[in-house]
Amino acid sequence: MDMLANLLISLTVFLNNILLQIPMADTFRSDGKIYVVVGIVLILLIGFFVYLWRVDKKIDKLEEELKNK
Amino acid sequence: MKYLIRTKWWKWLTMAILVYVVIGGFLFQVPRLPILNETIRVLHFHVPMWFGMLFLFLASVIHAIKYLSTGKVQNDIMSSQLAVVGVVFGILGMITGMFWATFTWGEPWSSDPKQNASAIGLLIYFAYFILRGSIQDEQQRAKISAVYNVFAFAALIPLLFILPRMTDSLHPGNGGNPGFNAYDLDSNLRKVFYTAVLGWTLLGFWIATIKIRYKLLLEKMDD
Repeated sequence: MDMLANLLISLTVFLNNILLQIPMADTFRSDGKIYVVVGIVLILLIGFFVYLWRVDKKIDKLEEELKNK
Repeated sequence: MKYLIRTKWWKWLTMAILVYVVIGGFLFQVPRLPILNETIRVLHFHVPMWFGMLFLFLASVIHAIKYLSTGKVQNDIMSSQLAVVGVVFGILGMITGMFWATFTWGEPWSSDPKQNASAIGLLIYFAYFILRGSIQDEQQRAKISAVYNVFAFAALIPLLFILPRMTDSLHPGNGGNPGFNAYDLDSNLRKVFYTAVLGWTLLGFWIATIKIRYKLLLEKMDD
């Protein structure tokens, strides 16, 4: 009986190990997934840059228009 | 300021620096300090807000003096818009500081000398906008607020850099020893921190140039 229980436990542990190993693309999951945080902050930052750049362009345009008048 | 309005290259520099600051600030090795733990990384985001504010206010006061000596409206516009962005940076510095303090000092407001002094400093600049808003005549507004700007900046320096150092403060580098004491020697932090100050300051100036150009356009359209 004991042996059967041991076998079952070791089988579950083995299966567990396999299941736990499934996640891939491991760089983005390492170090507590900090790279995901960095990625999101970078997306926000670049988004704001694009926005700022576009506003900048709009002012450029207005300046040109007013110059030609 | 005129140079910044005319040129564009420094905007690319701003973006590159801030991307570097985020990557380096989050991923580089930091010293293992008690209580602070990983929040030491806030150094690259909270402190540059105050430095940015200071540089913006410095530029603002320079243009206020320029206005007083030349009487050109564009100098007044530059001065006021730089002050606006400076105050925004100050408020952001205040909010981030309070959030940081909640988890390190135990409460958002410990009436730390530097906290109180920076709050007073910001209030002085709020009064600058109230002053501007309350004067109808354009020339009078420009002149009086330019003079006020000089006094505001002159009050801000001792408030932020001298008075907090004369008593004990929770802020590093206060209570008699200027500088960064605890993490003074860490070169990894410095590498990111100095560029962070430059990057965030440049971002402030970028926003300021947009606001200035907008106001200049309005001025032109009025003519």
